[in-house]
Amino acid sequence: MLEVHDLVVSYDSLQVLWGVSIQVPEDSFVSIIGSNGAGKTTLLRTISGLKKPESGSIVWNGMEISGMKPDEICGLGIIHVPEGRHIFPNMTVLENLKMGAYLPENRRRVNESLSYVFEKFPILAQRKSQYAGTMSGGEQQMLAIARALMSRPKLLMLDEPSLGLSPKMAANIFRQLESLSGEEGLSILLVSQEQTRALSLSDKAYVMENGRIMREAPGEDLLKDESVRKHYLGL
Amino acid sequence: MPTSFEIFQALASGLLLGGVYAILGVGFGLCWGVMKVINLSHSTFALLAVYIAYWMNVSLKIDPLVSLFVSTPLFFVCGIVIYRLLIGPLAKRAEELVAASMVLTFGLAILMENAMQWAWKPDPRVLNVSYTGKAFFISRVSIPYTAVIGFAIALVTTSCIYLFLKKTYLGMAVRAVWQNKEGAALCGVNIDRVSSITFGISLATAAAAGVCLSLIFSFNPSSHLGWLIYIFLVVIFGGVGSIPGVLLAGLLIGLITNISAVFIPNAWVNMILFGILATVLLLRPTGLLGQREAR
Ligand SMILES: Nc1ncnc2c1ncn2[C@@H]1O[C@H](COP(=O)(O)OP(=O)(O)OP(=O)(O)O)[C@@H](O)[C@H]1O
Ligand SMILES: [Mg+2]
Repeated sequence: MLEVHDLVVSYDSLQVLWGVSIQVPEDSFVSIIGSNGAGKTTLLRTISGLKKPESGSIVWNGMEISGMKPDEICGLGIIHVPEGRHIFPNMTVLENLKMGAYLPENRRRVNESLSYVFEKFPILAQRKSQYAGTMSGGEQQMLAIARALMSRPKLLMLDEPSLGLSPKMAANIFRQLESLSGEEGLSILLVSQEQTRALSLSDKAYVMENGRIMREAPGEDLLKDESVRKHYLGL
Repeated sequence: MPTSFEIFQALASGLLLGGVYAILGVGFGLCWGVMKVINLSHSTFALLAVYIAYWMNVSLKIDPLVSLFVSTPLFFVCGIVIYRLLIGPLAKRAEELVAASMVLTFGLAILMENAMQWAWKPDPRVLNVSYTGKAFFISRVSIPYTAVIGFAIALVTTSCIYLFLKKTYLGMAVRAVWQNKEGAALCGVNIDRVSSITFGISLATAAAAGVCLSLIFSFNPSSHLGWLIYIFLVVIFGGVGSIPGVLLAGLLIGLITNISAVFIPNAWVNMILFGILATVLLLRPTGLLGQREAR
């Protein structure tokens, strides 16, 4: 279970998060929506240790993790699929997946994990020896998610996993997320511009604006809410 | 008109010299690619290994090949320490690491040059071992033993690096950091640890290169500056990201210098070399086999 309290983050002198608090309970699907520049990416990057906060706390199962390095946070099972994928373009699909299982305890189970992700994403099994940089955008996104699954996540954080994908590919990604969220011991924290889809999958959702959390409610409630429909869903 | 004998002789010695350029380039390119650190003291470390081989030979009567087993591990540890004390802290603060690292490592190079001048005096030295100046013949082409030994060391070293990068988990992490640092960190790779090991490996190859150089050239405390130019040449020619590319470039540059020296006055050789380099880069800006990022 992840608890973020009063998180303050700045880039140089520009403050972008102004006391953000969120909770991701065990076995839940939580999403964050909000317009461009609201600070969603910054929040995820701070949780995974890529960005240092000015103040506030990030607590994972009772342990303070703010200030820890990304590799240590990865070792706790908080796995971040970043905006823009960050795959390794000149490595094969198989090597990319193996990198997901880099930490010793995951490395021991690498073959088991491989068959698990190949079952979920059969296309990756066919493209095992293709260089990742030569795959299509949608295939690369699947690879990014599959690589994260190789790290045996307890909390999977995804930043815009459907960005730039065809409607069919995007639907495919959301189907995968839906089936993952049913799995025992896996929580999902999703940031997505496909807000209708994201909200309909979410047990809980946050609306973020200008670096602050404006609302917190079950996904379904937000879907029905007049002002959310008008401002974010364009309905 | 040069005889075919002269050309074969140039071919043989060019190839052997090229292997040594290749090994220098591989270590330098690794450091450049993975850490974005241009280590201007790379050839200075090679020169230090030359002096270590020389000193062990003169004062302890130890064969330079044996010094390989002292200087390679020593330089590996040195690399890790230098990374922890100097490069790592610099990487955390510097905005432009490439430029900042050049300033830092050039300073280190000058410091080391002065230390070597103090320890071994500025005059040129030659390492004399039982097999110096001896050669075997293939028809009439003479092949010096020292050049063959140097080439063999170069080949073994570059193959080891290649296998390490391709076949081990740690080597894969090195390539991952090279291609996408944040992506690697999110997979659980400790960037500092992998970078320090890479720097250690890079200096260890400089030590191996140094032992090869000690067998082939005479040297003085500022020899490293000339070698540095060749390192740049080889790495840019071959492509920063490609070990096979750098290997090929090293061999080609060895061949080109030696063969063109048969046909034209020595002073013109560098003109030819830079002419070819400019042409290659115009046609293939990432170098012969370069992908920009480690394959
Ligand atoms: N590296 C950076 N340096 C300076 N400012 C930054 C940096 N990254 C983000 N910002 C600023 O921080 C604010 C929040 O950015 P962030 O990327 O977190 O927004 P976001 O909610 O993810 O937006 P989007 O929906 O467009 O991805 C923006 O105003 C942005 O300009
Ligand atoms: Mg974003």
